[in-house]
Amino acid sequence: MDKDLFKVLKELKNIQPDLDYSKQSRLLLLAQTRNDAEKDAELRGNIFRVFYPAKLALAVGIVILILVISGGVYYINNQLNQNDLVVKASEMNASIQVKLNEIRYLLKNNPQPDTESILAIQVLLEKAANELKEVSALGDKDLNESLKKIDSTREILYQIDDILKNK
Amino acid sequence: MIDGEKNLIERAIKGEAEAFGLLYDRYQPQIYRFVYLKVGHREEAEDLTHQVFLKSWQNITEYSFQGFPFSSWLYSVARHQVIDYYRTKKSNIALENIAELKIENPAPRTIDNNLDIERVKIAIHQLKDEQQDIIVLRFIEDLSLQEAASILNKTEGAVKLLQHRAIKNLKNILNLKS
Repeated sequence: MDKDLFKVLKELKNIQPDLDYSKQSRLLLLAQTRNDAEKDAELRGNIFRVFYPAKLALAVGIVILILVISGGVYYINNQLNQNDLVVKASEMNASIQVKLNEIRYLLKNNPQPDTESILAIQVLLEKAANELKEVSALGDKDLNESLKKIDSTREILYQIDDILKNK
Repeated sequence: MIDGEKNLIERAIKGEAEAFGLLYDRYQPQIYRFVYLKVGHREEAEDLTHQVFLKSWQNITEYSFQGFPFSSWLYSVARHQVIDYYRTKKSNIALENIAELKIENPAPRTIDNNLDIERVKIAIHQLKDEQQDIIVLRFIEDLSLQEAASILNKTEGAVKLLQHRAIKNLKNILNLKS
């Protein structure tokens, strides 16, 4: 009987975490620098208390959005040859980076973050990412449309700016 | 310590995320298993395991080699994380939740008709905290007496006694003769 019990205990070693969860968790962990981890953990705790079911999705969403935006701007910088577009894209790139830094600073230093604002910023970032994705899809087929989309992205960044200023 | 682990830890202490990522890949399944068998809920175990690695990452500079694998330190962090979790929740898992204990990746069944994995999992969950720890560490993860003692912050003698009681209680819960 003892043998059977120990045999069953050994079989419990087959329990494995879900692969998707493991990947997401790893991505989240490594997206943070060690020095930022503590404050971010506190912040996540605050956000997650309110949005518990969506906690992982929210955090992963933000990371993915940052990647999509960065990727989109990188694409623009590297694929389009028209000077105007490149200059504007570079400007946007810089603006987005500044904005992301501001958001990061806000999230890190606010022990009681305004979850409504965070969600509003998330929605706006999503919109900005979509605009840039469309620019990527357009390529140099329609430069005017691409420039419009970049301007629209800038407008969205201004809206984010307004939210940040009101903090 | 596993080959190359020391190097990975040193790199992680210097802030190299990829090195910590490799340590995560190596130890996350067993830490998850440890937490899961203690809390009995997949999602809670996932959340707590993430927190364990987050804390480990943010405090890795406090790690000092004491003759055991890096996992020993992670187990200690995990134990405290689970304790905090229960302290915060201030509640034990209700019986209906114990019924939720299921294996996500079914393992081969044992030959004994009266003793299956589900029953044993539920029985482990009914043990006292430290007895759960010792069952997982010694009989599931095959850690040495010395290493288990280090994780539980006990002497080897105390661990022997603890594991004797844990097995005895586990058998009682399972209605097995000693």
